[in-house]
Amino acid sequence: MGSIKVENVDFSYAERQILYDISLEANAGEVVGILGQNGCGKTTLLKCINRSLKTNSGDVLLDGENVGEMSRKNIAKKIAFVTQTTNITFAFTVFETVMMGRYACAGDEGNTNEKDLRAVYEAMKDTETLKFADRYINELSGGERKRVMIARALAQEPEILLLDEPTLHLDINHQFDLLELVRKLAREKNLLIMIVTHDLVFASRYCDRVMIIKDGKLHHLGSTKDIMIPDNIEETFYIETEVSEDSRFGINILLIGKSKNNSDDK
Amino acid sequence: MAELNSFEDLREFEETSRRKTVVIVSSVAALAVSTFICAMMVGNYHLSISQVFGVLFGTIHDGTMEYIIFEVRLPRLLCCFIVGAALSLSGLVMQSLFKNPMASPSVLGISSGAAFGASLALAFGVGGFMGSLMVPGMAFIFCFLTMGVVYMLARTKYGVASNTLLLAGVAMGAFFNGLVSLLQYVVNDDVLSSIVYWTMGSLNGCGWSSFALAIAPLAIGMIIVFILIKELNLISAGEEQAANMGVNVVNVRIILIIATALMVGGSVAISGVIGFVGLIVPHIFRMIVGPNHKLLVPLCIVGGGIFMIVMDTIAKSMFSIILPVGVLTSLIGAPFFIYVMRTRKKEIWE
Repeated sequence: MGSIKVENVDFSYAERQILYDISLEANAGEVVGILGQNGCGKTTLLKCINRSLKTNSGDVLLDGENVGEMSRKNIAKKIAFVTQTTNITFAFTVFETVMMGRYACAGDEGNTNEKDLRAVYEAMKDTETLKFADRYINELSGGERKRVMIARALAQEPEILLLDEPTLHLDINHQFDLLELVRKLAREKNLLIMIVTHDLVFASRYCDRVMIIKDGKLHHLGSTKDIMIPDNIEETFYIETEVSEDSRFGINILLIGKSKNNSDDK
Repeated sequence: MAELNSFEDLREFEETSRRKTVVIVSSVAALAVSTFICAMMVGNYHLSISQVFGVLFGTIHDGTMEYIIFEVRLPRLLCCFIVGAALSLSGLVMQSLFKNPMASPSVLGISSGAAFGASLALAFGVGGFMGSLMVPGMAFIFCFLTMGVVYMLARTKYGVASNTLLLAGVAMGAFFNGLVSLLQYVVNDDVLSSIVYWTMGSLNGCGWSSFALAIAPLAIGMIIVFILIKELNLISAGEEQAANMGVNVVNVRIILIIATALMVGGSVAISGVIGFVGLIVPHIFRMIVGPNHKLLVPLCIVGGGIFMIVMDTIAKSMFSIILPVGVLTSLIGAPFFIYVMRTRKKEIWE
C-alpha cells in the first residue's frame, strides 16, 4: 500500500488563497517530484497531504482513507514528513532524536523494544548517522542534521515519505547519496516518495514523475520525460535549458541561463 | 565513545544510556532520603540521627520527640518536598512546552493570579463560607481562572500559538500584579503585612492539613506529566515536527497546562508564591543531564524537593529570625544558578 489521492484541494491562509483545485494520484514505489517557483504552494501541498494544514475544500485520501478523519498517530504510522527546518530547540543526542521517530509505532506498546531499535539502526545506517549517535544535535553541521532528520523519518517506517527540499544544506556528495537512497527506498521497500525540490537536474534524474505548480495551480503532471522539456521549464522558471536523453541517467538537463523571452519580473 | 558499527553496538549504547538513567535517578533519590533525614534533625529542638530513627521506627517512646517528628517536622518536610517538586516540574514543563528558557510557573500569569486570589481573601476577611480554606482556596481558584482566561485570550481560529500564549500570560501576570499592588495600597497595615508575607512565600505553619490539601492536585499533575513524557520530548524538539510524528500537539498542550495549573495552584495554596525554584531547578538538571524528559522529570521532582527542603532548613535555622523561604530561594538560588551556567559548557538552547 502507500497511495495518495488528492481530490480538488483548495487551501488559503486567511484571505490569501495558496492552492487552487489541485488533484493528483501517486502510488507505492514511485518518486514524485514537486517543482515550482518560491511561494507557489509546494510545501503547502505537502502539509495538506499529511494534514498539518486543513484544506478549505477537497479531500486527501491515504490508501483510500480520508486524512481529515484520521488521528495524528495513524497518519504518522503511514506518512513521514521531513520539513525544511532542521532546528531543534533542545540539544538531544542524535540517537534520542532518531528514536523519536518511533513514537507513533512504539506508543501503544510503551517502552523501546527490539523492533524499535532495529528500525532506528536501519535508518541510521542508511543515512550514515550511526557515527554521530552520541553527539548532541546542535554540534552537527546543517547537512549532518538534515541526515539525522531523514533518519528520524525513516525510523517511522512509513509507507509514504514527504521530503521538503531534502538536499538543502547537503554537500554534493551527500546530495547524491540521499537521492540514491530515495530511489532505493522506492524500489526496494516500495515507498511512495514525494520530493519538493528546486534542483531540476536532480528532479529529472531521480524522479519517476514530476508535477509543476505555478501560482497555486497544477500546471503539469506526468512522467519526468514528458514534463521536463524546455518549454515547460521556461514557462515556469523563466530559464532556458537544453534537455537530452542519456542512456545512463535518463534525462540530462543543461541550464543555459535566464530566458530572453520571459522574466520573473513579469 | 567508540564508533558504532553494528546493531549490537547500538543496543549496547542504548542499554548503557538506560543504566546511566537508573543510576542517576537512584543516586538523587538516595540523596533526597538522606537530606530528608538530616532535615528532621534540625530545628530549635535538635535531635540526633539515632533519635530520629528511634522515633520513626518506634524504638524510642518520648512524647516531645514524637510530637516534633510526627506533628511538626515530618508534615512540614513533606510539604517542602512536594512544593519544591511541583514547582520545579511545572517550570520544566513550561520551558519545554514553550521552548523558552525564561518560562516558569509565573510566566503564564498563574502565580500572579493565585497571589491576587489569596490577597483578596486576606483583604476581605479570612473565614467566610470556606473557613480556614479561604486563602488557599482562593489562590487555587484564581490559578485556574487565570489559566482559562490566558488560554481564551491566546486562542484564534487558527489555534493557539505558544508565543501568543506566553504574551497573554505575561499581560495577565502584569494585570494581577497591579491588582495586588492596588489591594496593598488600600488595606490596613495588618492585612498589608499578611499579603506581603504571603507573596514572599513561606512554609511556616505547614502541617498535615496543608499536606492533605495539596497532595491530590500535585500528585495528579505529576502523574499526568509522567504519562506524557514521550510527548513532552517530541514537543520540546519542535511542535510541527512532533505533529508530523503523530503527537496531537493541541490536546497534549492543554492537558499539560492543566497539569501545571494543578501543581502550581496546589503549591501556591499552601506556601504562597515561592519564586525562582521553577526556573532554576530544571535548568540546572538540563545543563547536567541534557534535555531528555525521561531523566529530567524524575530528577526535577526529586531535585526540586531536595532544593526546597535545604532552603527551608536554612531559612528556619541559620538566622536569628525565621526567613520566608521564598526570599532565600532567590538569594541563594540565583548565584548558584549563575555558577552552574558559567561552569557548564554544554549548549542547551539554540
